[in-house]
Amino acid sequence: MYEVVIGLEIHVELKTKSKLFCTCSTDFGAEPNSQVCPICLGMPGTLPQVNQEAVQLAIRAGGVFGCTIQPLSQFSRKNYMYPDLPKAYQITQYQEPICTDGGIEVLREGKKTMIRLERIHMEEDPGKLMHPDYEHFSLADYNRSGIPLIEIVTKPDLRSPEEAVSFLKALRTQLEFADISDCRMEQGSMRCDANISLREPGNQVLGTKVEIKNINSFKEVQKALEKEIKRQSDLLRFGEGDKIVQETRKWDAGKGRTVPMRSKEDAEDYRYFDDPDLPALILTQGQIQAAQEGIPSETALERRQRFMEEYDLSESEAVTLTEDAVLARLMDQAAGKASSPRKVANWILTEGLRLYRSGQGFRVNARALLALLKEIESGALSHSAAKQVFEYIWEQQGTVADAIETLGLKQMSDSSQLETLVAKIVADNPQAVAEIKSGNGKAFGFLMGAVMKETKGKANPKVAKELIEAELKK
Amino acid sequence: MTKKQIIEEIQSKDQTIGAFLSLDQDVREADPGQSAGRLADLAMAIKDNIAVKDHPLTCASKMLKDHRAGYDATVIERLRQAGAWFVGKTNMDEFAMGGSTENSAFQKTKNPKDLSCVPGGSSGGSAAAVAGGMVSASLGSDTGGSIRQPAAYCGIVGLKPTYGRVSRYGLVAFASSFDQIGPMTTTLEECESIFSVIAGEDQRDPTCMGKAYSVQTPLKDFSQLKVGFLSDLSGVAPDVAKAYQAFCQELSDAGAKLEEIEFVLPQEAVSVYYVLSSAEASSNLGRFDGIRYGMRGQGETVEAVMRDSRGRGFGLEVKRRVLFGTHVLSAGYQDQVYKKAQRYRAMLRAKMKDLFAIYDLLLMPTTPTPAFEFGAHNDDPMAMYLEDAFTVPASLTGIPAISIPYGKSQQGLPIGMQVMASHGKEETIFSVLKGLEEKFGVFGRRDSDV
Amino acid sequence: MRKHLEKAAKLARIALNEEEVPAIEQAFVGLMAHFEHLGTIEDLPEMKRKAVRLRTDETAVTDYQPDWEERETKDQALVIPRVMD
Repeated sequence: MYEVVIGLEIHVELKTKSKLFCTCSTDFGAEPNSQVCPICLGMPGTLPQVNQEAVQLAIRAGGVFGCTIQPLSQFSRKNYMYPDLPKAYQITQYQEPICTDGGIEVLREGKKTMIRLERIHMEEDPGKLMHPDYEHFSLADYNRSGIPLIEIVTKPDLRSPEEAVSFLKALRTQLEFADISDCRMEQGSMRCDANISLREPGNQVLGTKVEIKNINSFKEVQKALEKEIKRQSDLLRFGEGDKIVQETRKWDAGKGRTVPMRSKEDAEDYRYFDDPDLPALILTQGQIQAAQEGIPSETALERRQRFMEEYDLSESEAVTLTEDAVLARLMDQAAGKASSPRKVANWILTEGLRLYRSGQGFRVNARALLALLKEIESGALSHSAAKQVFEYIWEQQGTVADAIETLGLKQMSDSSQLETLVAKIVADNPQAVAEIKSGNGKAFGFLMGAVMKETKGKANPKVAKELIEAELKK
Repeated sequence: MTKKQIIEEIQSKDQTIGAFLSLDQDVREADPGQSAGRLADLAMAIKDNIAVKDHPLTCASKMLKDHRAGYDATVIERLRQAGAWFVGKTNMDEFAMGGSTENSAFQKTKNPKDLSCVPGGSSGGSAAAVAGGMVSASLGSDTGGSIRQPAAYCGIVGLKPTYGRVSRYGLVAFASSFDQIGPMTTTLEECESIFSVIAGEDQRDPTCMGKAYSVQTPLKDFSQLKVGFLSDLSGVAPDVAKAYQAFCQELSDAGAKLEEIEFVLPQEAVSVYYVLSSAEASSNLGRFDGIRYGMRGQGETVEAVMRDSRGRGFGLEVKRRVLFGTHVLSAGYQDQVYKKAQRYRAMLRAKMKDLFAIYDLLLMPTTPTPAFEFGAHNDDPMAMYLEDAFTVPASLTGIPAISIPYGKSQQGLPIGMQVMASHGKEETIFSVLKGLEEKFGVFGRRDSDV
Repeated sequence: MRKHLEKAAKLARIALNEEEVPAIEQAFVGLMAHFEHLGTIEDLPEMKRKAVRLRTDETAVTDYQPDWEERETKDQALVIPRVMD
């Protein structure tokens, strides 16, 4: 009924060893206030030192999304007082960001649609505050203070909550692919605020913009936007459109709706000005090129389509494999050298995904996967044995050959050994033999099962089948 | 004398002056290798806005009354390496805002040359410590004249280096694009010596230009030297004008070519200085909220505590500047007043550069009058601001400027002369002044000074 | 002038007591003259920009312990007055 207009502001933590302006570690999960120094605590007399790697990652991000990299950008101070901000200003880039323009493609009703970016700029993260329930105090942890971020701002080009989520997934994949960030919303390395407004279809003027904060996962992005759309469209429908005011609302996951944030009497005035402690960030073409080496040459959408065409995958299979940079990379590495990319995909999508969900990374690499497939193809491993090997390597790492050895799974293809065994089993099971001869095919399965059991799954099923048939003929 | 004895003597001398906020009573005696450096065993006083690890860093403010530095400023590291040691921290105008040291939240510092007069500010304590014979050298900081003016009032040497020649890492920021640390000494020679130790590269200060300094030989042949001097001395006290004329004559007698210039910079310069420095100060002082360190106020919520910490922790002058600076920035980025002031500053820099295309040095009195009496400016803060007109040009344009003692007023108060050189050309200042000393005697020790 | 002062005090989180206000206001007026003066300047040159130096991305091992000056901590997090959301 109403056209939905959505813009996103995404904060992404850059994958650097040290913070943006000091040499403190950026490791996640350390004891509170154990990764701090006079600089990121804003102690009097300290000054910022710009981390080169952070700049390079910001340039990379610009390259990945087709932005214009500005050869001159400037750090500015965003002044406000809050206990998580040690200097009472956040060093950011206001008037002259490092990247402008660019965009990410999504599919809108099957058509490629460009979602344009406004800018990407660098800034430092504030610390973290915690507000324990029922207490009269709050807690501050400054480990996060000074962590390098890029803020990615889209133009209001998104038209639905689903699209917003697709966009975010594409964004995340590309950032992971280019080794810019881990993008874990649950760990806070990727945060998203949304701006949304509604308008009559065909109306060129934007409706009243509402900002939504406190969204902590992709699912919540969709839910929060859907709920906000409902709230606003209900108000519009009942002629209460004037109740939609420009404000910031907090997404309350527990209550399943957005609530107004405490309104301040005067809007905060950030008094932006160029940081006098930091001269301009001036980049040469050489530096820009060097920073962009090795960035993915295709967009997320292009990769998805290539997977469908090159590897003969369905759309949903391609989506699953390309949404995650780890899986996509693995697929490309392995499928290129495999006789059947289809088989590679199957392994990743079934056994691989099952174990991957436990969240410790994908622990079988391309080499191992290819070796495994070779063993299966040559008949050395049965499918069930291969599954055992896969799991073993996942847990213990190491090579396929070692795993087979350790598990004693070398498939029995040696006919003579098997022949003897088959003969024995046939001899031991006259009842089954009789049933087969009288036309009951099921009993064949029973004999096969017995052979597999006797050989602990190591028998080559094809060979075993032939031998049993041959034996039965005797 | 042992270090402890030195400090005891200082403590006794300081009873009448009040230069020090704290003395290092727990000083460690023998430090092997200390006697070997360029500044072997030199006892120094440090302004209390420069970080010396584990020592007080109060900036003469209630806000930081019990605060100690958790690290060493770069200049302190360099001085230590050269063999210097630090007797204590000196009094100043609160957060370096002021021109008399009367804005200290803790105590009054008197001018050793006349106890009824101010020592100047904001580095008044450092100036008095030297002028009162307690140490021969101290460190001060200069934003709009805070080293040069107290040096002139107390009759000592004080250098504001080229902006960026001395690292600011460890100097509590007042106005980031103006602040510089500099030496304040009895003699020109010692001033140069200390400057050669503290000047140079520092990765920790992105605004540092990274230019080291080597001690210069005194200039012998002045015939190639072109010097600009002011034709208009309106507003300058007669004694100061007389001393200035004598100083200019001295340069001429040495063989330099002197030429009149109308003014160094237009009057707008002072406006630009106040707009920019207050704006930067309002941002730099935002971190003092009592939450992580310093005086923590009372209140039920964090907002209330921050407001109370700053309401009771900051003195009047600090509040004035912070509020004015906040207002300047909040006039809206649209208005771009701050940006306009910056661009005006760029124009002033260009004007200054033009002057130095012609002249090697510019001479001015450091201040229009000698030291004034305590309380003289209480009713008129604007008068104090206008006195900065002589020192502000060098601050705005970043050029180096030194104040040397030159004569006395009829009341026996010291008078200071200011010598300015082109950006990064402290070498010219020292070689010329040392050349003059060779010909005419050490500044501050001549008959006219005593 | 009073309004400007109050807005600035709010932004700068400084609690003003009544006695101070006249003195601050007086200086404000004087300083505002500087401010207004600047408004009449046109045709100013662009500023020359220097380039910032960049630092290698490495962590430094130090034994730095933050000095909270007798403030309470709970499991190393700093205890601060309650923050209203």
